[in-house]
Amino acid sequence: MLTVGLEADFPGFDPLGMGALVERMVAVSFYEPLMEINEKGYIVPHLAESLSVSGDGMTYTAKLREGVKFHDATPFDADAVVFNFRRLMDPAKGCRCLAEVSSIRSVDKSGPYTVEFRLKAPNAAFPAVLADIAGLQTSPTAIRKAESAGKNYAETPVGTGPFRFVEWKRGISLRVERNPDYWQKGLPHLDAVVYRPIPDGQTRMASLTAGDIQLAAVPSAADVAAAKSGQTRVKVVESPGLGSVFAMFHAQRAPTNDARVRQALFHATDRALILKTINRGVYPIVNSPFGPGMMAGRLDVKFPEYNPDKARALIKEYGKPVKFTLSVSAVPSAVQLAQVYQQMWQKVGIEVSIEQLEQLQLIRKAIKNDFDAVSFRWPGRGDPDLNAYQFFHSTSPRNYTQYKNPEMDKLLEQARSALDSKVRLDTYAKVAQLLARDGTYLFMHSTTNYFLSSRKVDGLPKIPDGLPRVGNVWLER
Amino acid sequence: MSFARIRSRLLSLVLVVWGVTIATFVLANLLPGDPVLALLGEDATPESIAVWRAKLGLDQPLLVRYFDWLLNALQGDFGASYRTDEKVFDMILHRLPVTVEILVLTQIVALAIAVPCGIFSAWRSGSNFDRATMGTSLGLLSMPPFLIGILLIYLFSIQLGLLPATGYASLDDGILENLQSLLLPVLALALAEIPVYLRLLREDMMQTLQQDYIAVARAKGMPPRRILLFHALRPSSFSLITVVGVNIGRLIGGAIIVEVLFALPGIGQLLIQSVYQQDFLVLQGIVLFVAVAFVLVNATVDLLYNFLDPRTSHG
Repeated sequence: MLTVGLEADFPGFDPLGMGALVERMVAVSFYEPLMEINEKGYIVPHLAESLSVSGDGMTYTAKLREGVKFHDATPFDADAVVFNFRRLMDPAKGCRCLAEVSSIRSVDKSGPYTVEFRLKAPNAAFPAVLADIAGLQTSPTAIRKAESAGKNYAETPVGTGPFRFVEWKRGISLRVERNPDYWQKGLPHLDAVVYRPIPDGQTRMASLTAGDIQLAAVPSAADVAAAKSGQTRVKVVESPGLGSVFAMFHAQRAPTNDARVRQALFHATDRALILKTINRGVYPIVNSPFGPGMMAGRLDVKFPEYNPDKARALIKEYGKPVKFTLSVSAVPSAVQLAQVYQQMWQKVGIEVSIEQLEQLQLIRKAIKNDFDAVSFRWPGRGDPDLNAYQFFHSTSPRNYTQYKNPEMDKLLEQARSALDSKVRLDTYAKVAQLLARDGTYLFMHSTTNYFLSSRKVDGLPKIPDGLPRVGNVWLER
Repeated sequence: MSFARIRSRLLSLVLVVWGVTIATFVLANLLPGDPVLALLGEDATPESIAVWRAKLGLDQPLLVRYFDWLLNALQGDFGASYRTDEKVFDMILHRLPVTVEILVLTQIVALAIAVPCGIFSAWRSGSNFDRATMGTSLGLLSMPPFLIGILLIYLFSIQLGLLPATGYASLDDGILENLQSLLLPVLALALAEIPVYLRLLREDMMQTLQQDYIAVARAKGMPPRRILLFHALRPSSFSLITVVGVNIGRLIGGAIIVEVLFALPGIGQLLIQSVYQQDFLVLQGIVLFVAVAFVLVNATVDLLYNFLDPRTSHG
């Protein structure tokens, strides 16, 4: 048996309401998506055997794996998939995934194991949506049963995964046990997995050291660094992330509305030095909104190098005093980072005052586009489109920095509607290069996924979305 | 206690609790941030925020929301969590046994250690035992429960491997497992309470022991154990009882920290979560519950005075 320590209690497991990382970490043991992300960051078929797209990019056809059963013996087929998607797409149900499934016009069965998705517009990122929460398959029988009994389905999830849900004591633990009829022969290796919420990071670490748990999620950078240097008896499991941590500057407010000022800021920042000092070097630098966990994140992008002289020259060329406020979350590591920025920028003649805010206030500022500069993050999604279009397209409501560039709009639209993956990748290379030259984001580091585990734990796949696929895990004796 | 006094106490209880509900409602809404943002996090978009605000009824003015809540609460409906849709009342009820068990065990352990030591210290004041107890208690008094907790985890879980660092076994898992899972958290809390109880009892006891009737009892040749336990203890435990009662409120505060530290699924843990996640109705429910409990405990302490000293019932 494997016991996993997580950072918070889990709200529930109805895909309608799921969103938090912690519930997705647990759900990966009993739910499976139609498509899956592999270790290289490619979107590959999972419960779907194949996914094909029509020539106009408007219709995706999923051929489903046959012979798969939900844990309650309900067969997994086209009816189940259609049921699941129609449920998520029903606006009255208020799915948290509504934004993602809103690209779908209709879902229909075209054979006992074939489902057709018709989209409102061509969208090459659609397969990644099927690998996320919206793609998770739940037993229609179980949902109907819970609904007719007036019970909360979120408390008794039924999926097709390597483990079946057994018991959940809220706030204490959640237990899943081996699914003997799992479709992937030979899996899972373990008989049972227990998930325990342990909110305090130090206590989670102490529990791992004491052997109460064998796998700890979301360790602190300090614990990761200590484990990497061999100071502790624990093992580090890391997978490259999909997103990035960055500072973003308002594109319509002076002084950062001038691209020269933004370039000066980029040149004034010694990112390598910052990452070595702030996070003990456990997070790698990124040069684009695409984390190294995806193909687009492994492109060679030239980001403005550290060059204070160039920065000074640009500020001089700008000719007016450069002064603005940087808003950050009031947690020690974020404040430290902001202070380092402040010092580095001061050296080239940029005056910054730091505003510390509670995390939610910071998000509110970002959403309302009411800031000069914000230190922020985006955990990332499985397709580059989901990391770029919504933040840099001039018409997107989520374009926090109000960045408007017709060239960027064109590139993002091209990449979204292109069907050839090579063409897409080339287009995202141009997107990344344009952002480095003209953009509003100072990219710092990637969102690497870390787990700390007992030395006995082995086989955990290193998937860039950071969810622990415990179906593949075994314990050394 | 006379009827009029009970009535005035009840009235003040209702007023206090009502005041608390208003204060928490206003304070919770003054918190920076927004429950919907807490729910949606970095995924929030202006549209999804609007949808969820309407869904949770947060688009209503504060006053309307408060009176809606109050009316429902008077009928026993305390609302549901924004995050999990669980009934607030069920959430509290579900986690209550853990916290109550921690508080009761803490008081038992603290008293079981503090009372005998306090009596003995008072009786032999100035002895080596007294000096050692006073020194230790000063040390413990200066340490907050979370520090004691971390030290206990380090010693008993990591170094000695005797007890689990975290995790809760309910009574269904067996009474031994249950007590084992609570031993460290209870110790962490009790060790901070013992010095307070011990010092109070010792002071009062020393004063009582100088009373004439004690001298008479001694002169009669009564054995010290009898004098201490039957003649001196009751009149000396006045301040102790008050503090033990009032302390329940303080301990709930300590329990929050200890529950988070040891990952125990009690009210404190729930309270912290509801603050972080701005789950206002849960927060409101817990504060209301704690306020009622606090007021009731104080009323009970008042009643105990009457038993300890019948004179107070006429006052």
